[in-house]
Formats: sequence, C-alpha cells, structure tokens
Amino acid sequence: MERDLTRIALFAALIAVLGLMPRLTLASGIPLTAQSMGIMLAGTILGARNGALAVLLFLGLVALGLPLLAGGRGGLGVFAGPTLGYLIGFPLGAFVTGLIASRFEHRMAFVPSLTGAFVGGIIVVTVCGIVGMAVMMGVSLAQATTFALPFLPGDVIKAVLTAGITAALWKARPALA
Amino acid sequence: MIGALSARHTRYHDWHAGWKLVGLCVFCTVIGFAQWVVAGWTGLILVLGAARLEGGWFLRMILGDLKSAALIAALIAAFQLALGSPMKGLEIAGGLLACIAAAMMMTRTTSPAELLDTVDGWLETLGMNERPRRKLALAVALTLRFVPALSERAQRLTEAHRARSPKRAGWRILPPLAIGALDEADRAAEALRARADLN
Repeated sequence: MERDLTRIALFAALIAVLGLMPRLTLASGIPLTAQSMGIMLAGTILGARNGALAVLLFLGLVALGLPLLAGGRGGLGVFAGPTLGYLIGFPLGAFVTGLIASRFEHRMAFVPSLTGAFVGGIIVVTVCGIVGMAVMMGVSLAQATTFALPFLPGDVIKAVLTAGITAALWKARPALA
Repeated sequence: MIGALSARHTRYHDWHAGWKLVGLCVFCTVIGFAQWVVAGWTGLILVLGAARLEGGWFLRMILGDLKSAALIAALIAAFQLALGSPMKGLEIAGGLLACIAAAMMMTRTTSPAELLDTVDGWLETLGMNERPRRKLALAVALTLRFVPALSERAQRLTEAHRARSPKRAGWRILPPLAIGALDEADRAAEALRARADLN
C-alpha cells in the first residue's frame, strides 16, 4: 500500500521533471520533450492501474496551478487549449501501455515495453490528441491528423528509449516486475 | 512551494477558492456553448478589465500568461481563414483566449493548497471516506517533495556525466535517475509504514 503510494507520487514527479529537461530538436525542426516518455515509463514500470493513477495525480497538480507541463505551463487554462485531447490521452495511454505490456510473460523486458509504449504511448495518446484538436480548433479529423503527424518520429524514438530504460531497470531491480 | 501564485496581493486572492472554481466552470461552459463570435471576445475583455482593476502590473501578468495561447489562437484563426470561415476562426480564438485568461486569473490568485482544500471539501461532501482523501493529500505532498529532489538528482547526474564524457548527457542519465528515484520512493514507503497507518 505505502509502496504503491510512494511510487505513484514518484512517477508523477518524474513526469514533471522530464518536462523540465532541455528539449531536443529533430532534423525536421520539430521540438522533442521528454514528458510524454514519462507517461510511457509510468505504464511500463508501474503497470496499468498505478501508471494511470500517477498520470492523473500529475494532471491534478497541473490543474491546481503548478507549472509542471513542458515549457512551465500549468493551471486550468491548459485544459481549455487545443492540447486537451493529449491531456485526456495521457492517463489512458499509460493504462493501455501497462495493460499491453502485462500480457507478456516478462512485462518489463524490451519487446513487451516497446509494444506497450507503441500502442498506449503513441497510438492511444495521438488518437486522443487528434480528436481533441479537431474539437477545440474546429477542424476536420484529417486536418488535425496532419498537425499531429510531424511529432510521430519523435514519439517512436521515445518509445524505443522507454523500452530500453525499462529493460535496464528490470535488470537492475528484477523485483520491480 | 512551486507554483504560479502571484506574490503581490490582489482582491481576488480574498475570494473563496471554491466560488472561483465554480465561476470558472460556469464561465468556460457559457463561452463554449455560445456559438457567437462576440461571446468569447466580450468574455476576454471582461477578464482583462477585471485584471486591470488591480493595476497595470496584474494586467501585464495575465497578458504574459496569454502569450503562447495567443500564438495558437492566431494559428487557428489563420487556418480557419484559409478554409474560408474567418468568423469561425475568430469565435474559436476568442473563446480560447477568454477561457485561458480566466483560468490564469484563478491560478494567479489561488494557492494550490487552497484549491486542494476545496477539492478535499467537495469530496467529503460527496461522501468520500477520510482514508482515500488522506491518501490523496499524502500523494500530493510526496509529489511536491519529489519534484525538487528529482531535479537535483538529475542535475548531479548530468554534472557527473559531463565530468567524464564530452558527449551530452541527455537520455543516458535516465536509467540511473529512475533507479535512484525508485530506491528513494521505497525508503519513503518504509518510513510511512513505520509512522502512518494507511491500511
């Protein structure tokens, strides 16, 4: 019980800290922040339920006004913007990531983590983001998809890194799985 | 405490956080449902006027918060203009800016602790037991403790990497950061088990 609580709090903090890390820029000029990798890591390391709870706790703190989103954004205002779909997709993505990884024999190995991060952290989050953009910006789903596409190469890099980090953690702390 | 609360006191700091939250919800709902260009822009002018009542410094603070949102609103308006529906673009941009300005007014004048107390009070009214509410409060407190601790650890790891390698640290510090952080979380769990009954 206590361990679950502290790990949920820890990953909420980790997602915040990853948003504060310096952003990289891909060759295409698209900025890459590590925050969405925190969502994937929460799912692969904590599992579906606790991963989603960690993300919900993080979003709750953002709603309370703490500037924890990438770029130092926070407050209820971010829930009124075009990225609302992504914010809704974050806990869902962490849940699906953990759920899919747990279907494998060793959920924290490279392939299960990569599969989970790919489906939950990329597909689920991106679909929610596209629907959110279409609703909030008053554009069609096809148009919203064109806005989201440039970020996909960066997301694939983050999914691979998530799987590598999760597998390294599993080797260092086998009891985590 | 990390946060965006304005250190300079305004009259809005004295308003009850619960009423501000209800007001914000009503405001955003009305703006969202009013499919009318004037609604969003009128709402934005009202919010900025309310900020101006406190003086130019507070208005500038809220306008500063709107910078990145204004860029997005401009892009939306330009996109809708290209699609041949400029009024729709103005309607969305106005509504977006009004809601974000109102939310930032609330964020700048309400401390996270006040908001947490308000949410806790609402959960109590809804009949949620004390135990889950206590867990939530503890999780929030732990997260606020972990954020600076993790940032400091990440900084130390980056410096250690820089001292040993000409390459940029980047993602390489993440595995040791996560391992160290998990160990710290487990130590905190042991301490909690010894001092608090969460079961």
